[in-house]
Amino acid sequence: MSTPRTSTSSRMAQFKLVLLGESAVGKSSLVHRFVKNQFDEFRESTIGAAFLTQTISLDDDTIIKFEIWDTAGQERYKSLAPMYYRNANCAVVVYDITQSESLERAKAWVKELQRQANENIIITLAGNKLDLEQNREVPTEEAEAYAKEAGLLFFETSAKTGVNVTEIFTEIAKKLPIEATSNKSKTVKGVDLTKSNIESNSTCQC
Amino acid sequence: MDGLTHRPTQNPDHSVPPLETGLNDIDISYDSGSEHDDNLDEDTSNLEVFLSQEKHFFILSTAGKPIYSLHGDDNMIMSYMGVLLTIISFFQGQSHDTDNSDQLRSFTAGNSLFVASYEDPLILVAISKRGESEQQLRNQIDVLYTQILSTLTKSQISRVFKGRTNFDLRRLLGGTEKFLTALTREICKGSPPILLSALECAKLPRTIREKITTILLSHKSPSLLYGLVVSDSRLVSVIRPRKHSLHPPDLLLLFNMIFHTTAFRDGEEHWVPICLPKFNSTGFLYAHIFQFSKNSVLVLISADKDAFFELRTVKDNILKSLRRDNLIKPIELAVNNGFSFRTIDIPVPHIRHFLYKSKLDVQFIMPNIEPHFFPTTSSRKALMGYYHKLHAMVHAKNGGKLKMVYFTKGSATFFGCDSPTFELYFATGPDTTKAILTLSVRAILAWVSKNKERLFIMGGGVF
Repeated sequence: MSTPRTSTSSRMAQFKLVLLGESAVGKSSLVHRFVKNQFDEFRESTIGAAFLTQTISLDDDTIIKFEIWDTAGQERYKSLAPMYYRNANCAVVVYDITQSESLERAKAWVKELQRQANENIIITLAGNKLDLEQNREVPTEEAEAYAKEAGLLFFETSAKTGVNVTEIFTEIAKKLPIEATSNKSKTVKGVDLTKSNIESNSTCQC
Repeated sequence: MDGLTHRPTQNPDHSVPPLETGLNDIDISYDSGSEHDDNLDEDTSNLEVFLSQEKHFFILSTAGKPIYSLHGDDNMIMSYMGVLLTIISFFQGQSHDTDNSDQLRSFTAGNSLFVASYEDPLILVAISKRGESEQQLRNQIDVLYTQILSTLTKSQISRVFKGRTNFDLRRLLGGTEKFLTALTREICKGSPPILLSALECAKLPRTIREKITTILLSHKSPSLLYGLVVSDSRLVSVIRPRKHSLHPPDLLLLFNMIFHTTAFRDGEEHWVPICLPKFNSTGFLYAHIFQFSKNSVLVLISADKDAFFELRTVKDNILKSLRRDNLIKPIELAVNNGFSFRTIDIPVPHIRHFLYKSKLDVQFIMPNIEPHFFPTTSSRKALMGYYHKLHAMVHAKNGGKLKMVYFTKGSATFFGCDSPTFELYFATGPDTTKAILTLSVRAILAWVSKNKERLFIMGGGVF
């Protein structure tokens, strides 16, 4: 995907996005499909977190820049999650449609975000691995009903084939409060991780 | 001249590991003990392969839960670990005092040497048919142990096992098996950095290295603890606070994670909690890891988990300066395709390969392994095997200031010596006389001394 240059007349907004979900559901694969339009069948699990950016144009004169935290899903990193979702404008919580426990884990993340993240955070639930339809364990209706009830955007995606990947980010972009922020040249600053953190604990709390 | 660190050059001595709790309370009749025979019978061919391996590493909890094994599947290693644990526990039971000195440290069976290390609540075992010394195997399992610590910290391991001796540590290590596997692979290849517990530096002109270090220092920010440029597992430049050394075993772990797996090699910015056990085994540091060219990585380490964006700016500024001063190309050239330097560059005839460790700098150098001397994987492995043998001989515990050994094997003579300031091992032509060997040693030492500033990082940038 090309990176559009900002012309003087266009609006540019910058938002922080965090990906959460159990390990091996395809968080990194979704981001890589979105940012690089690539898919690696044998991608290794993320260690810690990776930081990526991607710019999309919403319409002729609106440019959205996403600053993305792709977090590792392993249990041992759980206590670090607040550092990534604190002040995030949007979150994509991912589960694997072939693993029903991964939806339960996703629900726990949604709960945590609704309780502890920015109150205006836009949360999307993404059921990944749509290409493995034959192994599906989570019916679309079940996840969709849950998403509706919890007030989430909902997509079923395949990072492998690319189905619905860009759509997630475009849909999120449409929901983001661009008007409020587009007047300033540098626009919104999302998560400021340099600010001191009250609940700062240097070691893991598992 | 200050060394890179003040770490003693000897490997940590594990002769008296702490015995805390648990070892006497082991449930020997652990889990699925009775089903083992069936499983093994089903898989005889695999078992044969498993037993024929030259080297094994096992990591288990004191309750017998498997954590890591180099070879074999779960069923196979469960029974094997059960046997190991029973043997270890038997001797444990024999000693009634709480003094650890009565623990089983090593034994031989046939041509296999077994070495066990207790790092409560973990037990690590190395088994080798390759003729390495006990101390060498102990050093190898210590490297694996520090890798586990680097993922979890000592305090977290103690915490999860507290009151749950049956805890399955693999749940917490998920995703990092690749680092252990990469380490064991390096160990099995006979990795010189692990044998010598020393770092290798990229060979660079002094002025280039100084420029890079100056750039790192000029962009340092308040939260920055360590800054490193590393190229293909070789240190290019390092900056550190005056009061904190960097320990080679910690850096070996870091280099292993970065260069022997693909986890951080995707051109993205990574923010990784990591415990550097020799720095502090109980807490995490946070590393900003960014691969900026084909072989080269910038690592910025902070004690502050919220310092990502601060270090990100530091990274941008450093890279801008490196590009402006055309320094990225020389770094890449220094390690291009694993290139180090060649034996023919050194005015010592007949030398085929050597390892030189500067004890003060805790760094070593070696030339490329020339294919016309060592054409096959097995000949390279054999060379490393002879280095291990020489290393074991000069480190055998019987004192002496300068120890030299040599022997002729097949078409080559192997030489090793350990002095208070350096270790040197080399392979040269067959039936080389003592006089020629002495000349070769002198010539290598003279060459190293002349090129010291290109070959070693003398202290690094200190702030």
